[in-house]
Amino acid sequence: MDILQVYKCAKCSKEAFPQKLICNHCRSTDFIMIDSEYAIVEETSIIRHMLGSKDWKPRKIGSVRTNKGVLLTVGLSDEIESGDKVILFQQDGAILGRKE
Amino acid sequence: MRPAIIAIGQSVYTRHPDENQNTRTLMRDAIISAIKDSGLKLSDIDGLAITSFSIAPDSAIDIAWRLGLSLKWLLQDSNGGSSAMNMLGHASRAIETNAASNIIIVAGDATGLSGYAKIANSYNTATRDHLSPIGHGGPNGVYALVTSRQMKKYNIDKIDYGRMAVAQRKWASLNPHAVYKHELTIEEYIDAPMVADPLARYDCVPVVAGSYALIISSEDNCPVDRKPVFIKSFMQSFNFDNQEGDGTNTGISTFSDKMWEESKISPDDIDVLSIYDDYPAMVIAQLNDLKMIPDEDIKSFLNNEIMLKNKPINTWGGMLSAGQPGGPAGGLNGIGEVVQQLQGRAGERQVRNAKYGIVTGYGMTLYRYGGTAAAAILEVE
Repeated sequence: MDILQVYKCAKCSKEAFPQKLICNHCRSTDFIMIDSEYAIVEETSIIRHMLGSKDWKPRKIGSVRTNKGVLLTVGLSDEIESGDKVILFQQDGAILGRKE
Repeated sequence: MRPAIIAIGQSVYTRHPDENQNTRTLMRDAIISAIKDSGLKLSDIDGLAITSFSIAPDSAIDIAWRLGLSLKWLLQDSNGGSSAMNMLGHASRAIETNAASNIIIVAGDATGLSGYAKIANSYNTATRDHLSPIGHGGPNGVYALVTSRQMKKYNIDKIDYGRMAVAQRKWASLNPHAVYKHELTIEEYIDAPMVADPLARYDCVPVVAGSYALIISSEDNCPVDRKPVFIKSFMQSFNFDNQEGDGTNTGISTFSDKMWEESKISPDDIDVLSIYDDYPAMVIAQLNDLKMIPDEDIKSFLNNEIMLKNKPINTWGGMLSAGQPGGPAGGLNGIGEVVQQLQGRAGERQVRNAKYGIVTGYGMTLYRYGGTAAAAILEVE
């Protein structure tokens, strides 16, 4: 698993995810990719049903806020709760939070 | 010409369409129903606005061709839960500027559950690339998280949302087109299986196949048995906060003060409301943004105004009980319901002496919540 990279505005340093075309803070079009540091879990949910899927297994997702203020929706392992500090990884396109 | 909504039409709404029912035939049925309601002839129609998640690879012009409509104004909208409102705004301005004389606005879908799941998982690139891989469950997962935030922010309990589901089901029992008409008790609401915590079965709209249509024209073309419905105020907002808020407010918050000021009426003057109800939390968010909830006391509003039906909200049962075809069509049904209420044609659901109604649209989940919002005040004179 790779540490999630987020997009940092090269001019004003505002971080964002997903990638923007223009920075909504300073209007720059230049971004650099940087490793995210850590995030705090704000809310969680367990997805118990998936439309069109008969063999779905429940899984946990959550809304997290990175230490630089980027808000993301990520997959979480079962033991993680609101308030937990997590490191964000990317695996096969999925953004996942794991306890530090 | 002064634009007015003069007629409505609807196809069947069904959870299980038969082999002869698809998006196109359902749209045809809604259009024929609206034409009949208006007293116009199909050949009088010179404008068409259309929204659907399931007519690809066709476009609006293909549907016009199949319907035999020769037009001078055509629009295809792709703003999801705000599409109906968007089409209403554009069509109104088209009538005002004589770009067309009689416009049909139609919305419909027959995606089926698997078709809807495909749409939900590839709704936009953010969803396809970043939400689907974690198994977010489509919009249910997105609005489960928004609902949790709203519950914390306003001290709302699960049972409070149930008041809305129960009240709307009571309205739906009076709507012959609703897919769910049987009474829903608060106990059934609480005991329902969880879908995406804290959302359970009755917090989520049932996907149906169906279509709805409106005709907007000049007031002179309104049948004599009813009053023309005018748009007193119409405002929209798109991407108002760059997805950097908590989702418990909508773009309506950016214009509601201006809307009340310009219309010279207040929230207390509104007799009937159709609030886009993809999830109970978003009805609350829009009502709050519209300043319809005194002192932002949401708990009291749900328990008193909605549960006791003091505020007639979503009197057709809303999408939560009557069903949601795809995404865009539910919004049009809400507009049509307020039109019928203002014209005194809502049958057993009729709200007495309704003069002012408000309709909204909300949708296009970008990543964490919806990016489009609209509201209009409708009136009869």
